[in-house]
Amino acid sequence: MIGEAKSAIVLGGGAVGIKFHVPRLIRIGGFTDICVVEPNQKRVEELKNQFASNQIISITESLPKGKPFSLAVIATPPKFHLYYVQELIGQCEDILIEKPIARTVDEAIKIVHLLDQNGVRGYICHIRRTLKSFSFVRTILCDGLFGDLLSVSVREGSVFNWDAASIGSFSRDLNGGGVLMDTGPHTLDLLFQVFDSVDLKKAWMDADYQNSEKAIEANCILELETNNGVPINVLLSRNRYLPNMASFQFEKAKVHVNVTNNTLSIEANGGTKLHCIPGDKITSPMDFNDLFDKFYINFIDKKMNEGVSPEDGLRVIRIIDKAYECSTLMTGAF
Amino acid sequence: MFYIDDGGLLMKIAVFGGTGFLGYDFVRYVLKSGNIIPVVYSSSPKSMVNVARHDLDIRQYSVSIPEDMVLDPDVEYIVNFSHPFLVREKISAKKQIERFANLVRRQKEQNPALRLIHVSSMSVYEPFDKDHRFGEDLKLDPSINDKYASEKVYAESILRELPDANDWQLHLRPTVVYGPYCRVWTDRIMEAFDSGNVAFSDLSGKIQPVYGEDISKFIYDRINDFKPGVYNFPGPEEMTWKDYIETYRLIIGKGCLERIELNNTKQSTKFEGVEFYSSNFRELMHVIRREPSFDRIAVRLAQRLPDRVVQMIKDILLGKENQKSKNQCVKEFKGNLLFSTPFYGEDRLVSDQKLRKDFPNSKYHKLSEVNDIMREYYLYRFTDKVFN
Repeated sequence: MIGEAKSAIVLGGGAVGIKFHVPRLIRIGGFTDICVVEPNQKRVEELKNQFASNQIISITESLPKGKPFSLAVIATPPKFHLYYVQELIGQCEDILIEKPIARTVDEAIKIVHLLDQNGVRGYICHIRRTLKSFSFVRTILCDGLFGDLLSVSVREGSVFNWDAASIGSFSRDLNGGGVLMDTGPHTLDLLFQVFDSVDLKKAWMDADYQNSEKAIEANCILELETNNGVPINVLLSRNRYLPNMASFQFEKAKVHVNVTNNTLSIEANGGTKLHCIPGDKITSPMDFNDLFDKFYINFIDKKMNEGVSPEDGLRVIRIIDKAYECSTLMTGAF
Repeated sequence: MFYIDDGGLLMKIAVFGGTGFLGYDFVRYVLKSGNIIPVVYSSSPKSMVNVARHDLDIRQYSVSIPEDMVLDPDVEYIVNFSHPFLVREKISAKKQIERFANLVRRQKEQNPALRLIHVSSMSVYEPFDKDHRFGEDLKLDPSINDKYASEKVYAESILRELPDANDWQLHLRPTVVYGPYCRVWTDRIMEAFDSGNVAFSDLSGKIQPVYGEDISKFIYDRINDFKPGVYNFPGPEEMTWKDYIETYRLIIGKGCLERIELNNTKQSTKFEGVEFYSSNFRELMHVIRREPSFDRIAVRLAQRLPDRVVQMIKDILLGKENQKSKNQCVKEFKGNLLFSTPFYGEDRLVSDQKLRKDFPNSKYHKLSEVNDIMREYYLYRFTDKVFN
């Protein structure tokens, strides 16, 4: 509506909120009034300086009570996701929650119920839902194009260089864990784009979750299984250079799918190779920013949460929670 | 001192820079060896990946080191690996160094039993010369253009100016250090061979590479048996850069060393120039991009520019342009340009006499003795081999 400010609130003035959400709220969402809530006073000062001449963005230390917002973005460490959902109910039409949905399954269940009971549309920031390549693999699997699926292997990792503003990414209390809570939700969400259900069999971490209180993993191995008994091996890392590929071994071919962009390659048993980007029109490989844009365009702007709903976030955190609970300490890692 | 259940003593130490390569190596060594509780101080959250795997007390601190910052009163040692390089939090490196020295002074006043172990770097030994082994007593005189080395010298000198420094400070000056997680002298070389051939012009310069864990063990031993002083810390053997780098090639089993003529490296210099401007441009854009209006303008602008130009700007912003420029040069030189500068033709040697005389029982590994570890590390860091 002309003349009426479209308001959004961003909880958390860290790198994710400021660098990724705020610009898209303005550019794609068309929001003209954005309130950023950041409890750390020092960070508040930094942000106030940064946005001093900005007419759209305001910075505050606490949640403004009673003011209605069209959209809330919770971009805090997972420890605070449930708290902010509780606080925002009644103030917001839609709530976008950064991945993972919560720190634990219990907190995630409470979030799902709260949103459901109060008729608030929730989104989980699973930006890789916008990759066409994994739904393409699902089609190959359903059509039986290359025969039965025999095994899946996912290798995702790079040396951590995220421009983190705080220690949050490395605090078990705030974040709940390490790489599995960081890129893990995206990786598991990719698997859920191919399989209806996935079950965890075994997990290894290079931090001791059974005997220590603070340590968080840089490496994690998950042994999963589909409901048809197909084994899935997932290797995640924040201190190794891994190929960032998911490989699906079918009877007649191997399909390698890049986990961070929309490219894939097919290697038929006879030796034929094909490298492509699935989709109905010619596109170029996507980068992280493209994925984020597309997430806002496909879901937030259209007010559509199919595939990125709180229930979708819940099934991801169920696996993560179980992995931490049963993890064995890696002894071979450097 | 803390007493543990079996009656042993636990000593608390503050480790600055414990998230970097050498600092983390030391923290890991200490945790493995026991009897010391390290409290790790880090000013950079992004470097905490490795250290966060341990059940440790990690504290984030501001490089501004305010006057009221104090360490725990029961800290008996400060072990410093950190080096304030460049302006951070709008504070110059010089100021950061002075504030760190002030913190050490305040802590010493509070706890007279405090000791400092400060780890510097080979860069400060300049000027080097052929077959010249730099002694501890010689004047440190790096080029004024070498800001990094100048700051290293400043840090060491300002700490040594603290009252009675000769009684409670140990300064170590390692030479070329290598080992797991060493970005400069391990990962970079592995990465280069991993991606193909490596070009060089002159690798005849001699060095004394030292294995990171040998330094960690030495510091651990000194905490348990302190001796103040200033010591060069070279490895146990002298070798040419060629032998050093060739060892990595053999460890990795990939790529070749390929000689190029030095005059061809003009292109390399040109490339470095581009890198300088790109880096400044990136920094500028990093600031501008914070402005939401930038996105609106940038999108409109991008729609009017040729795709090629948009891609070039994108690459610069994402730091990918080096890869492309390198690839272009690689085509010409048929190799990675990492070792094509004159730097690797110069001897960078230090005298080890004082170290060997005062600590005759310390053991140091030759590169050949840790080949298996380095091979395993390569497989860990650069391949998807499963380690569980």
